Amino acid sequence: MSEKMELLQGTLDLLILKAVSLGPLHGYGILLRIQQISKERLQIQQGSLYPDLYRLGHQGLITSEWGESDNKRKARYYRLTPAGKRQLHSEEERWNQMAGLMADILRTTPGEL
Amino acid sequence: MTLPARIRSWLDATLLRSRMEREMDAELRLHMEHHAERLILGGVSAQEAHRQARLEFGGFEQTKEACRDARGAGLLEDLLRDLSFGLRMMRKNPWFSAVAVMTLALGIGATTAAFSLVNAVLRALPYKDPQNLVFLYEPNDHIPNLPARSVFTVQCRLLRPETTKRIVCRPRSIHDRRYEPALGAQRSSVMRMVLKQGAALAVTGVGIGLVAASSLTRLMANLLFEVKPTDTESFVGAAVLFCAVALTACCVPARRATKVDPMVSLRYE
Repeated sequence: MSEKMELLQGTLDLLILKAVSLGPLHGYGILLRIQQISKERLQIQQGSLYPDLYRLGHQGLITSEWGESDNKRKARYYRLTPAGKRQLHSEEERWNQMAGLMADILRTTPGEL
Repeated sequence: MTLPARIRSWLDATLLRSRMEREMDAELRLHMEHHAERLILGGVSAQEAHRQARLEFGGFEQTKEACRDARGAGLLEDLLRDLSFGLRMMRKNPWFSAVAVMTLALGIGATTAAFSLVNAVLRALPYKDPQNLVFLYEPNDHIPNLPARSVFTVQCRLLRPETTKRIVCRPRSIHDRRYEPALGAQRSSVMRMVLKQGAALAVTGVGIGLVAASSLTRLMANLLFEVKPTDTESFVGAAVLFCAVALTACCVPARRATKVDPMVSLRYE
């Protein structure tokens, strides 16, 4: 499947938490990392990243501080808080359960019932 | 952990608004610059790269608005903005505002007055089972204004002296069971008495209200389209409705008053 997939609703939060858990990043860095991990297969509206970032910060799941980016410019770097780490683990688990469940359901053939 | 963080974030967003705005602006612009630089590295011309970066980012102001909402910064700000808008509109139409405010004030004032009156008149007395309070006396020649000797009088003091109603019967003795149905027969008159009081209240209220309303509508007729100074239908309708509501409201205490058991009342004395 080579064409880009639209994000499922509500999954951007989880992607951001995952990206940030791998090390502090600024906004554009988060976008690049998600693209990189997903091998450019996800379609993300760039601006939509920021309201999500602000909301996660508001919920205390990530925190931010100003630092210098690679080309000597001031940028806001985001990191995971302990609460964010817990949230990431539980969300991961929930996601895997859901994905497994969906896969099981979709694999069902008439003979099995 | 998350609740204090939320409150701190909200306080920051509210109190340090200009700083937050500055930082947000810088952050979003930096994102677009980063993207443009990447495109330039990919071989796109500088002008085209910046244009494309803006396009791919999406609505700049909408994103900022969504960010503010995400931090709960909008709450207080929206409230203040709405308030100031309301005040501006009021200043623009001072007459209309005055009429609206007066209508509200009058409505609330009248309702409050009516309710406090009803509350004062029909409220229970500060005794146990106040509905069972009675006056009980026998005729006495030395005291004037009492009924004739042969009449045994039970003056039922319902709730308040002004609601007193004499219930007269002619029993052979106080233990004569026949006075019970005799008292019971007065049920409708007790009911009528309480209702009459309510009606007096309602009529007074409607009278005052109609006078006030007619002067108000006269004023409104000058300001609003299609409002006649004396709209018979609405005046009669409002009066009837108000009376009906008042009398319905009176039915509850009236019915309770009729349920007073005379035997219980007498034993209390």
